[in-house]
Amino acid sequence: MATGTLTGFGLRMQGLPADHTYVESSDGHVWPCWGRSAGGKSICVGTGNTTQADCLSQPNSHAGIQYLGTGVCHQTANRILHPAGVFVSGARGYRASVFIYGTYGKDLATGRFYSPLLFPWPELQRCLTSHVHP
Amino acid sequence: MDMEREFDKRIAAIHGLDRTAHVAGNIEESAMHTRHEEFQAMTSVFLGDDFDRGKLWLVESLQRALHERQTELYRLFESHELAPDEYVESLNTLLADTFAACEVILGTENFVKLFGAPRSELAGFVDRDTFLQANQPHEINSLTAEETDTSDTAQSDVTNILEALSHLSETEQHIIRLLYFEKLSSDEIAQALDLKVSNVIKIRQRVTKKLGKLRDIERRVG
Repeated sequence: MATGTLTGFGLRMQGLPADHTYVESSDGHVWPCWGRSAGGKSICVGTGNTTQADCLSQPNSHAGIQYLGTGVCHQTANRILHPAGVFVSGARGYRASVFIYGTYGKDLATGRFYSPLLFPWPELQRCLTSHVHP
Repeated sequence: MDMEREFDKRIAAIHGLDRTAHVAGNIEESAMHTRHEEFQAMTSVFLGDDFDRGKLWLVESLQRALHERQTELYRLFESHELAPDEYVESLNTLLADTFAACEVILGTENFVKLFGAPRSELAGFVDRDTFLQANQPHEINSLTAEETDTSDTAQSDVTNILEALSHLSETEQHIIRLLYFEKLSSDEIAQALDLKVSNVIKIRQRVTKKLGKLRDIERRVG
């Protein structure tokens, strides 16, 4: 298990009311979450399994989110940050995006908000299963 | 404790991340109410527990209506009844209308307290460019296999990519195969090739830059 630091970043985007968010790990991972991955300000940090975070980020650092369908970069970053249990709540526009898509994104088929404990998104289930070590 | 931290704490408790929090009741039943619990956490923290329940009920009704309409719009987009641009425009209008109605119900001051920004700053919330970029392959995906095979543009893309691939080192080619065709993570690739994760990430970034169209390949193959 690779335990390390997971950091969420907020980046002000010209002409947009909400900050773009992305995530980095102390192991050198950079997950752009649909956008830029440099020049942001650290807005949350926590300790967690970085291998699991990388698994959760797949594919393409989109973490299973359909952009503007089931979430935006805020929900994508929250999913990747899940092993550290922190959120990109310091990003501008975050509360509006949670109002629309929830903390971890929404399921289009049922309209329910995803939750690690109560209604895990498919990628979370897959990553938890494949990263259980004896 | 500031309000943002309190909000995080409440959300963590809802999702079982706060190990000290007790999750009450039936898990399946609670899952149905995650949206409601998140809404309650947000209104409780930012508007206070004494806030007018009638107004909150109205705002929550708007939220439910927003979700239903957004899902409907996205389905229209997925079934190609709405073009990407039309989806973005419709969603922006829906959000503007919803936030405007929320402001009427809550008043300007409480709207800012709840959403953390004035309504004017939430206008145009949607990142149109990111959506259009993300959904470019969506249109390619919608082509039938036959159409893809006979498309000059697609053939030209594939030729360009194969040509570009031939200029990569053996390790780079190996990483591309594992990353894009076998869907391994950087950690798994590092393990498979006995490389440091940081090296895999560097090579991955370099290769992705070289081959800007790899995402197209991944979506077509995947």
